[in-house]
Amino acid sequence: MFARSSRTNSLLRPLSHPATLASQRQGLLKLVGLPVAARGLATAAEPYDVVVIGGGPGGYVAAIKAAQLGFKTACIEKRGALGGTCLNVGCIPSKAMLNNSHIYHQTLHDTARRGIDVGDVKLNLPNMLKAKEQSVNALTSGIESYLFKKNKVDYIKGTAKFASSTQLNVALNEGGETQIEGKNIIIATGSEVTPFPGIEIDEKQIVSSTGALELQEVPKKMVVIGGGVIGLELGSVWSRLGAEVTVVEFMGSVGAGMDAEIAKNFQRILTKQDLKFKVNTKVIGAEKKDGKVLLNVEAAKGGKPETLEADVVLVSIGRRPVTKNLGLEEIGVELDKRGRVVIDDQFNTSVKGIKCIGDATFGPMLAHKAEEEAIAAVEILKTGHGHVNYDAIPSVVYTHPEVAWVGKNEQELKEAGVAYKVGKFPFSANSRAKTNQDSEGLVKFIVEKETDQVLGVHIIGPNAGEMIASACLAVEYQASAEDIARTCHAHPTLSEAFKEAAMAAYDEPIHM
Amino acid sequence: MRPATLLRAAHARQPMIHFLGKRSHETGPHTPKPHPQAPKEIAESFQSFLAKLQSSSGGTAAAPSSTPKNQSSSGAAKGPGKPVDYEVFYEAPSRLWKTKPLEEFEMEAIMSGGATNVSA
Repeated sequence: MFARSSRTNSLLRPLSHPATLASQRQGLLKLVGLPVAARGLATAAEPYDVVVIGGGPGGYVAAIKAAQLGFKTACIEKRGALGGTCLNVGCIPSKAMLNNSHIYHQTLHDTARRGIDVGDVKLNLPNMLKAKEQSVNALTSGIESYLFKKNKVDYIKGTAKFASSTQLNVALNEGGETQIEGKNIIIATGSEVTPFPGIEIDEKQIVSSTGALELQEVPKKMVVIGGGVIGLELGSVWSRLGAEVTVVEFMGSVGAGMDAEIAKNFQRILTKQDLKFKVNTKVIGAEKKDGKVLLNVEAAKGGKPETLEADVVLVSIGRRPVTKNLGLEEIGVELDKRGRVVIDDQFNTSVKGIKCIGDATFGPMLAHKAEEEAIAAVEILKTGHGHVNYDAIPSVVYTHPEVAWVGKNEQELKEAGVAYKVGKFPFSANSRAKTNQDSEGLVKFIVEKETDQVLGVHIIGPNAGEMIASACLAVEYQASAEDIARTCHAHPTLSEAFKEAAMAAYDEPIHM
Repeated sequence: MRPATLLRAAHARQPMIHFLGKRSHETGPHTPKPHPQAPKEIAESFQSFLAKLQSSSGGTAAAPSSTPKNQSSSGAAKGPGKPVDYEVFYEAPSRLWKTKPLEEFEMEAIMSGGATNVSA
């Protein structure tokens, strides 16, 4: 006679359970005094706690943070490589090209006065592009092979579309389709290049920032439409490598969002570097003829038509959110007239359980802003609160010299009717900048007149992008100019210019 | 305590820098507000956005780990022993749907037809 052991008995418990995913899809689930869950072979697939659509700086950071906070997390990315625009075709490859083109240009033009005689200097563009690719590959693969694995984030390569507010259909890159369910879904789909109406981008002669990082030869003449951050950075790259670059800007000055005084200095310095500017100028259209692009422009107010000939035209008039083909309208997620996802102060969209961060919603389209929002959004899921200080988000233009700023500029404070004081210090009076023979630019502090609190800092000069971190701390922690001025800064460093500008804001600098 | 090596005329000047340290958090329910970077027209029509959000039948507002046990987003308790309705199965207590993982010896027993676990 066979007798069941206690172990065998445990195997004879009911195998099925009514609470399956299928029953949930069929409608309301009714559970009435069910016993403690039994083991099942066809059990309900437990949904992810957090599913992130997009693996850019917002998306992959949100996924990692969610996993770190104990959420079962998946990240869906269609590009086939993580890192989004920033790592693949934006911030990172452009910095590789900016850095290496600067070294080339400096070696070619700026070594003799430093006592270094260099022989034949040649550009090897294929190798420069290869170096850029290597940097990109190292960084993007590091997220997948190290960070996601370490933090146990499920990475799904495919294109997601909402099937419902909790379910996503994913067309897998390798073929086929799957459905992912998430209790919380974070939209972090980023942005894409805004096309210029009537000018078709072919990424060969008429290029976006993506194509401008892939040019296989240095164009003789390049026209950049748009004098913003991307246009000026990439214009600088190809100018240093030998192109004759003309920047066409609709507004009266370059460097959108920059303090007017800094923008004026910036344009002057870039002009000295042989970039040509046509401000207050609008583009009418473009046509390709005999291997060239003919760009028709006229004054922004009308009149003075002119045709600019170029081998390559870079269209860099801005970026727009990627919110199409996600099924957002179908499930009721509200978009504004610019296509951005409307959110509240906790990143909630108009549909429960769906949040949105980064370029796809409000605020500046910056990778580090998306990262801050990613962490805040996930912390809100966990604890109900998160932290992003939109007054302390820095902006940087990685030209040479770099331009960096945080907080308010003079125009904004005038409009807001805030009484303020300004303190400035030029790098030409800074010992380290002088010894480096790299002393163009200045540091400008804007402080509240009554309290001396730092409201904004604007820097144009060597290493401005690194220096701005101190200003971000000052704004975040509500420091006064005197707090900074009374903090010891090492000598001889460029950061002394930062300290002296703070001194100039509340009292007087020493070295000027 | 670490002795200070600071020479400061504290009577004359107090630093204005305000280190927040570890953030203290509000404990009450959060009152939704427009996003600080939202354009004016969106902020002005926030109530309609809010109404849409509150009437939406989306997923849970927060993951279970942060949702108190008595605050299911769709479950409505009707008293002891009475039916409870949930829109999605995972809103129900996990004991009702989360299964125990199979152990190695159980899988072996299944694969071998169970004979190895039957004692005379």
